[in-house]
Amino acid sequence: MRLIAIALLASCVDKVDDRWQLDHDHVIAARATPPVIRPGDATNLDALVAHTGQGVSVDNPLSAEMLGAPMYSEGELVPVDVILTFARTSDRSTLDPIHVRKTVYLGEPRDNPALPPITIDGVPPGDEIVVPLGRDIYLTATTDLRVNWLTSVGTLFQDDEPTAFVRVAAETPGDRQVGELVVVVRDDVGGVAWRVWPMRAE
Amino acid sequence: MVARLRRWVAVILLVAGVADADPMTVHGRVVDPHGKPVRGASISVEGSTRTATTDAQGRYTLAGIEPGSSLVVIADGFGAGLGTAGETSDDIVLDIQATETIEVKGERPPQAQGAAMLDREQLERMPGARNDVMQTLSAMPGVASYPLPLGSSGVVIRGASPQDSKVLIDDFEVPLLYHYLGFRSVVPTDAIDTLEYIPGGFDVAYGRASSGIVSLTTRAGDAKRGQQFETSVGEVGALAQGSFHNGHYMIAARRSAIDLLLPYVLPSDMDLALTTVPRYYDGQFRVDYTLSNKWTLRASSIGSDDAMELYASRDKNADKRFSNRARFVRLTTSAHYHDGPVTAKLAISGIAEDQTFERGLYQHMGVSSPALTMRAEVGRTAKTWLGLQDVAWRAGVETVATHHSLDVAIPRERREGEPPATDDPMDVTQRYTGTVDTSNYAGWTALSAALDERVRFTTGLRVDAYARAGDVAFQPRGELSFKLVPRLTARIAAGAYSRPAEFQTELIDANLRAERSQQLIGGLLYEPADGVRLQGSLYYTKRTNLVTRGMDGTLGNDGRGSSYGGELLGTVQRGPWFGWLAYAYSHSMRVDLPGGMQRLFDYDQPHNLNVAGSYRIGRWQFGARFRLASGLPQTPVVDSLYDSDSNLYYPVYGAVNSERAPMHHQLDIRIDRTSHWGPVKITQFLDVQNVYMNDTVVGYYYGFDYTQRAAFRMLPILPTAGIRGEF
Repeated sequence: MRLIAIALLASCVDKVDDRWQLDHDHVIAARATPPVIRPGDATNLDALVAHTGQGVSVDNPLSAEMLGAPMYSEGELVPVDVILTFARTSDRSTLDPIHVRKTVYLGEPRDNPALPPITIDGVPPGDEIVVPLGRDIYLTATTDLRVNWLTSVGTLFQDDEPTAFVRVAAETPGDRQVGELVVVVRDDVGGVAWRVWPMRAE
Repeated sequence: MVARLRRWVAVILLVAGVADADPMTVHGRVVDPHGKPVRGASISVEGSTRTATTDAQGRYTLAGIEPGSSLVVIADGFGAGLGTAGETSDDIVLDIQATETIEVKGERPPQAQGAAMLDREQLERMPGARNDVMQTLSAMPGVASYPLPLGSSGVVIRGASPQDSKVLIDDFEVPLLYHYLGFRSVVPTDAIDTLEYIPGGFDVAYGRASSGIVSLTTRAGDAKRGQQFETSVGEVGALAQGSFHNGHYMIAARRSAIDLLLPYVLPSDMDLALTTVPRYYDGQFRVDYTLSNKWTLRASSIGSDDAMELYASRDKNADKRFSNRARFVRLTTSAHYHDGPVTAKLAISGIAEDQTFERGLYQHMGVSSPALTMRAEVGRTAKTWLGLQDVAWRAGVETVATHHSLDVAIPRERREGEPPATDDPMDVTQRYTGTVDTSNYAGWTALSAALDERVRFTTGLRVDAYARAGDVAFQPRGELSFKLVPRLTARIAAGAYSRPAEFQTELIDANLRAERSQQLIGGLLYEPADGVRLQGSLYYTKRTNLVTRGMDGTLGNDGRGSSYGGELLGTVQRGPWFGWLAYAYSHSMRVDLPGGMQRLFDYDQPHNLNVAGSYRIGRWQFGARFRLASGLPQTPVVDSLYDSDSNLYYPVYGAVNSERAPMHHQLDIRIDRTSHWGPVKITQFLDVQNVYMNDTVVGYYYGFDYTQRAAFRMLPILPTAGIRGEF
């Protein structure tokens, strides 16, 4: 309530990067492959990382540390938290490195989810997404999983909904008309899937 | 009231003359305009302690009176009468009709050291207050100054949390002080008679507060019937008043207007859908009725209703919905008895209160808290008693019964000293559905008397019993006042105070005891001339039993703290001038748990200066106000942890309140112009806050991953214009 009140009255708010902004050093999602393993098995940990001015990449962690000693019992899913660290590529932040908590589960092995059907303005995307200037473009993931959209082109709305929309204003500078679009889906047991497209507006 | 007095009241003074300058015995008679004797009228002699009371025939006798002395006649239900002890021995009838209204202008001493009272005219003159009574409160020394209200249900006084101080309207507490939109008070200034600010050391009649008291009195209707309408950028209001048989009335209502404009002002490309544009209503009424020359009755009511609903998405996704509604209505009836030295007051007040909040698919809160309060107080005065002079004694009792219905599913409530938690719309850590009944009982007594012409004391005891927790608080309070020289008085006060643990989720834990404080206040009051007053105060407050969160997440009475500071308040009210100088220095610390680190209080504000002046010339009135105040403490984020599966960042905070927002300052101006349009008196005003557009940082917030810190800034300039018509 207090934040809303401040937002209503304190009309001048300094700008910070939005959560969907890819042009900002941060980890978009960490992935365990597979997300559920048997005790004694290994899983591969990596993450989709956004870099200021340099697009996104899939990075391996600088370090990984398991928290606690899990008590496994047959037939149950037992969460195991792992702390990962990733390097930042810009000096904009006072916080370094990036600390990430990823939960890996002990249980019957399962894979990460498959990427759901995606449409951009009603059409399945190709290898590159091209959007017109000055118009809302709907981005839709047909799924019940949790969805997040991110981009470095234009302005994204409803970024944590299965249906988001992006708008690239006509006056957007040229260097902001080219970038990437990312979709991430998550299930309830640590499973994650993503896809990255190059994107431009014209 | 005046019409009633005109028709009914006359005080006729029959003065027995004296032959020479030696003290003589004076006989007289007091009658009403119809010649009927007035029984029980009190006659006092200015400059003397001699008094008399009229008998059934309206007669009185005063012995040892100097010829030419002024006689003051006071009778319940009548206006005051004045007479002079003359030289003739024959009774002389002085019909009050000829001198009917005797207006005595002046200020009574403040209720406590550092206290101040403003009437409606002064409230409306304060520049930068936008005609709002609670905005004016920020000019008081000891009130934390901030561009936004600190909590919607309280004010921060002398380093205490908002819930530690009480705001009363017609002696009873209101649950909400501000409308959410625009932070306007729930009572318009036009409906207020006075605002009394008591930052500490308050009387035993006030309770369930451990810091200060703000007491508003609603306006009694005038004898002359009148209406007024006011509109400004943000709201419209109307008020009507007048008299009827033996009574007066005032009724007022107000509605926000900004909600009518907002849909046209917001950018169309915002990712926002307002289904209920934020709006508010409020209303007030008061009726005073004179039952007899001893009894008066009063009924008053205030109410408020705020509502809003929005979706933080253009497509109205349910998980982006936010709605809020807060409404209450309080009805108070009271009977007042006054018979010479004896006074009594019996009051019953009921409140219906309802607040609902819903956010997204998981978080909601519904609180309904109807309450009934009954209060009785009696008082007696005596010129002398057991060698004491000007004795006043009071005693009272009060009960408050509240039935809370709670349906809560919200994140863990943020307590004093705790930094904001991660904003997770699925977080419903705090869950409770059920009812809570609280019953609070109080009794008090106080005796005030003068030891001699220079020394006066007040001593009293208040006992609060908080039945649910089985907690009883004995709170002795007292004050000594020394008149050092005729216009310079020194005062020192000490007392114990308590505040029940009934604020928000404190209600859920039945074992929480009341928070306690002990206050010590001393200072000087200097009145160099009529209308000019200067007060300097020093205070120390110790707080114990503070409700804090333990390591296991539960609430307990483990906190303690202290505040100390000094205040200076100078006021000038002379002719066309109104001046105001208030400076406060304050330092307030807390320890949340035994053995814990001492930290600054969330609202610690070392320096706070308010200088205001207003001058009236002809139809115009010009005013300006300068404010300078320290920024509030901030807790920095030193690191963060990203939880990939929930897609949330969790902040890692540094030392609590180890940083501070920058000092802010601003200049506000106000211009009023009065004119007449036929029978209508029109007042136009322009109130501009921050005229030199100082960049004021209200606070800080962090980006989604806590790597960027940004500032909330106030509007560079905030003009408010309005017009009022009275007829």
